[in-house]
Amino acid sequence: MTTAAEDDLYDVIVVGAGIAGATVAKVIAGAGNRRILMLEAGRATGMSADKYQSHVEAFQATLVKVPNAPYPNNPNAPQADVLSLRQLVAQPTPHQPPGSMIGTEGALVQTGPLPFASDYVRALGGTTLHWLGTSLRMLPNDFKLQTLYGQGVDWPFGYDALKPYYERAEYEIIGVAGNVADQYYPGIDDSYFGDYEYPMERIPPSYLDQVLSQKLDGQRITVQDHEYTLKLSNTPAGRNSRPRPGYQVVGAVGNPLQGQRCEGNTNCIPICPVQAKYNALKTLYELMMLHPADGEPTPSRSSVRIVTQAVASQLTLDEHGRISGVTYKLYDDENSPAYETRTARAKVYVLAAHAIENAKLLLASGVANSSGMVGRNLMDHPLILTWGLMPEKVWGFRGPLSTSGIEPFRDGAFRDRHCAFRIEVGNEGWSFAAGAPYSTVAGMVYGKEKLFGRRLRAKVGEVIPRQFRLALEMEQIPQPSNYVTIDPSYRDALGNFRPVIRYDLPDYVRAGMAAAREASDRMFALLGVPKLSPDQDPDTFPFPGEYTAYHPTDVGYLTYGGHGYTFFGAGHVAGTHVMGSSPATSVVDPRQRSWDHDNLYMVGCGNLPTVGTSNPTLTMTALAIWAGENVLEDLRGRS
Amino acid sequence: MNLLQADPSQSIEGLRLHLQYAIGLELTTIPPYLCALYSIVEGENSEAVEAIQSVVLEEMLHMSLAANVLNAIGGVPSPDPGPGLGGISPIPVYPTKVPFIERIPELHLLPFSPEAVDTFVAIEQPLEPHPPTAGQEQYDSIGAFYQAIERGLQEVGTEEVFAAARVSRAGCQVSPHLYYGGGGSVIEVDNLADALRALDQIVRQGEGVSPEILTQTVIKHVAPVLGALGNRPVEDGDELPYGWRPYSHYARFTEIREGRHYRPTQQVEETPAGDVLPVEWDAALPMTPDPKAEHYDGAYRAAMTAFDQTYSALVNTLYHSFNRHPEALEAAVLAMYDLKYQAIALMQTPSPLDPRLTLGPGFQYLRSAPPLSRNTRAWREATAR
Amino acid sequence: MADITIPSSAPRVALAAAGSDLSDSIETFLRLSELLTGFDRVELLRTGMVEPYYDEVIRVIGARDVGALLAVVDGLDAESGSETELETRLRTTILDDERYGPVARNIIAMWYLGSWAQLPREWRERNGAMSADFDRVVSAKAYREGLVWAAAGTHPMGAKQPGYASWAAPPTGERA
Repeated sequence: MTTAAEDDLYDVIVVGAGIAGATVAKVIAGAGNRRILMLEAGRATGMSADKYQSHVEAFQATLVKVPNAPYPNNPNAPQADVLSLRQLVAQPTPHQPPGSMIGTEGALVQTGPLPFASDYVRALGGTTLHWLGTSLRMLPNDFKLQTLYGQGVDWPFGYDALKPYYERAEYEIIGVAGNVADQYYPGIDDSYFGDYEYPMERIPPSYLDQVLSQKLDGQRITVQDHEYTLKLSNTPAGRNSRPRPGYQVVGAVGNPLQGQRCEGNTNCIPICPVQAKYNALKTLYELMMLHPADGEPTPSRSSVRIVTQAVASQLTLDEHGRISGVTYKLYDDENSPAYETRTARAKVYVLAAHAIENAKLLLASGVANSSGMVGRNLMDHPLILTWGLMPEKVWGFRGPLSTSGIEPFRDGAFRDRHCAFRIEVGNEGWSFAAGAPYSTVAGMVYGKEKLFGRRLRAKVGEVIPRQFRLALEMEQIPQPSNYVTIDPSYRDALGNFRPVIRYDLPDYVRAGMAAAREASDRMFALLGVPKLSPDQDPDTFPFPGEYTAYHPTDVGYLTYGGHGYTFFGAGHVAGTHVMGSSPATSVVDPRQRSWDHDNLYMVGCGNLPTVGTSNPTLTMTALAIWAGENVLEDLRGRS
Repeated sequence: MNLLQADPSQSIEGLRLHLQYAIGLELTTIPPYLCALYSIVEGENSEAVEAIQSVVLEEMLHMSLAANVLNAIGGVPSPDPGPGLGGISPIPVYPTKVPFIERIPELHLLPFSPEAVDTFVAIEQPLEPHPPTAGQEQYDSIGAFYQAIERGLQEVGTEEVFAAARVSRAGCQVSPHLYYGGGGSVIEVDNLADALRALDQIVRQGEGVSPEILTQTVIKHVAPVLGALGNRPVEDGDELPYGWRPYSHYARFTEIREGRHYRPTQQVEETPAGDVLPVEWDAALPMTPDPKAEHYDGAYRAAMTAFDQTYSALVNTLYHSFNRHPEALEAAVLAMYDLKYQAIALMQTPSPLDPRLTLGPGFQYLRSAPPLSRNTRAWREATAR
Repeated sequence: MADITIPSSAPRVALAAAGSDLSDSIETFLRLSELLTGFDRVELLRTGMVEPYYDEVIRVIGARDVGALLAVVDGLDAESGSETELETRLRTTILDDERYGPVARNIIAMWYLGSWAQLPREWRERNGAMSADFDRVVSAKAYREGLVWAAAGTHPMGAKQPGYASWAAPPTGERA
């Protein structure tokens, strides 16, 4: 990666080289004649086959295999990591009133009352390095939450406006495998897909999916007076499968023959060893090939320069209130705080650094915030897990981490009372839920039974293949009281601000957890998985049985209606610079441009006014394509 | 045995026989490549791994192409020995000398080593194909062998032949969607033009590649990478794209043998003199050369035999897929993965016969191994197109 | 048959010429591992982890204590009896023993999971704590060769992937 000369005036500077930034750059570069600079805070490690392999080995050698396990923390571009989460305890400091809570380990400063439990990656390629790959579109009613259900806000446009961009995101950026015929969503009609089909055939459903389908499909359950008909949907995913005619599969970066099909590594999170799963390095690689940095822009080609280890720290304004430059700190060695300060200038600036990092940069610069909404409306998909042992072996720990979901709970009249949720079927046994298989073996070897030899081997063979879990992911609604902000007392090694988070979940969402747990109870009953009876000892793994357990000492423990739930973050960080129809209540307009500065665009999940129940990456990518077109419109108007 | 006596330009039976042995020929080089590939310690020698892997995938493609051509002219792909040819099966026994081609060296099952790579370079060496002269008992080269088949197609591959095969061999063509991970693609063969295209792909991509490439400068010898350079041809003076590599197996193996990349201005026939290509010859599991299950006892023998069973089932599954069960190809692809892990496990097991060496994959073909199938209704539904 | 030069840095394989002390110890360690894990000697050898795990145990526990443990193992086989009787003797002389039990359980977990778990506090206070005794994955290869995956009919997550669509049916040879 080369460095940028300070005198250059670029057409566009993109801050952040993850999927959102890469998408915008691709759209703009593809129109030819442009010079683009991309600034990435983290390292470029993943680009070469050898270095990518070092990530895989790092993962294999790590004891606690969390999503960021392969991507070591970088003090100069610290990234949130779930390992640093802990239950927040009252720890008043001179800065905070007594009774408030501070957690300062890790990259995020948590002020509570609940921990913000999601992570992200700051490296070339961004969080798509460790994402699962699930590529679901939002539902039409998700865009009208306020009008239909009196909750949250409406988007400034509807599903139909975004639909063509969804198709492009699925074809041109991510490459999605799925069958339209296998999607069973509530509240949609034939116009939702039209005569569209995904570019690749669906990822084959796992054996577990098939077992669940047999027992659940067509069954009706009632949860809190609302009736649902169960049916598994095969989950569309950014993961290589058999291409449909006309689509060219994109393999691993720099080694295109590898990763042309998912091979069942069962490791999507935290890293796909063969790169069958989409990651943004693929798009960045394409940019490097087709629009080399040192090439002269022509009508069919642009110049895209990618600078890594460059942390944007400030946006400056000129006397007309337009962005006049981005100042960034360029460092050589992630273990040394030494850096060089540089400034780069462009006609248009696009922030694509992640919902939290975008907000942080705006706040640090004191720009784009006439609405007061920068950093506010922080959202995630808080999820709860339920898990158990099936009556028969379902052969988990095979295939991608998830291949199916149960979607009927994503929309309905109940949304005026409690949030919608989506059920993700997990193929990885109790890995997420209980640290299996390590915990399972440890339990058998060190626990009550102290098994060994042939009996141990046999018991492992009886228990682990029966493990399964469901993840119930809640739609969190926007609340200005959930926010990320900055505080001069909290800075990282380079002197940049650390994100300071305030986070809580309202009753609307907790009521959704309660409803989801009930739905899970009904399903477990249909599966023949009863609650364990008092005389069954879970330490000996009797089956069948439900093993869901939430403990008051769990990091994400909360209560509602007399029950406790343990929630996790899904890594779906959104809302911190919402898009809207009014400058008084939103940060960017429906074109994703700042209301306050006509040469500043924001992309990423920070733009989402509400999150629905779909993993937001696909939606964000669709929006990023649209934003790219809007930037081009501006550039053409300008010159 | 003298395959040349069954002149493919004289009779359709001769042509079919040649194609039977073409299938076997493409299979023959795979086990030596796999032994070298699987012996490489995980994480090491990534260039060599990539190079060998891509060759193996292409050989498997070539098997399918040859089978498609054979089926299209009414032949029945079979691992059984051809009539009147001394009972030699197309399926090799190692160490092996391909009886009908002179210039292929004796092939052994060896771990990754300079000797092994020398063999690969020799196999992939581009040679001018010379049609056999009268009385010759072997083809000079692989190129000459395929040249004879091509001529045979043009002589005896009439429309009547293809028409009859459309009926008698309906449903036997392997289709493209199952093949991935290697260059090229499967061609379904319906007529003479298709057959010639399929042959051309085997020759162009593989060992029959023309000696013209030897005087090509490397910059023109670049494999297309992710539609790099906007799909326009590479010009001299172009900067080579990130991660470029030469496209011919000969060039790639030469680089590995020499431990150096070519400089872009060199010709392919020169000794590579560019950047160092680090090769750790020591990072290879020390498998017993040409290992055989019957040399061992007890659990060791059982492990070796289990490998032979998997391999044989794989071969028989491939033939099954060429005989009206194309869906069996999926089971074959899955068996390839299984084969790999069994091979590596053998190469990690110390040999009771020699403590410096390990067991290894014997690749002994057992004709009776039943073809693999996942042809249950549930499987078909789960993987349906 | 081609002449093979054994590279000097080839991975060391266990069981060198009979009669050497080193090979006897590893042989006994292999025997202990068989009894503890329920996998037979060839299944263990084919992981390539016999010697690395032996080395690991010595690093953490020390050669003297390992020698003592292996002497007990030798004694087990000396008496004849059924497999069940052997397992009972293993339990009483090793697994239930204050000194050897925690070590033996760690060896089981190491074979199954590829990681070493720190020995219990009481053990370390009584027998001494070595610096290598902390929770860790022994190596990336140890992770990949963990026995738990094969015992559960699958592959290590992130390695030894079984191929496209393999997950749509039970593992080959297995029934529901």
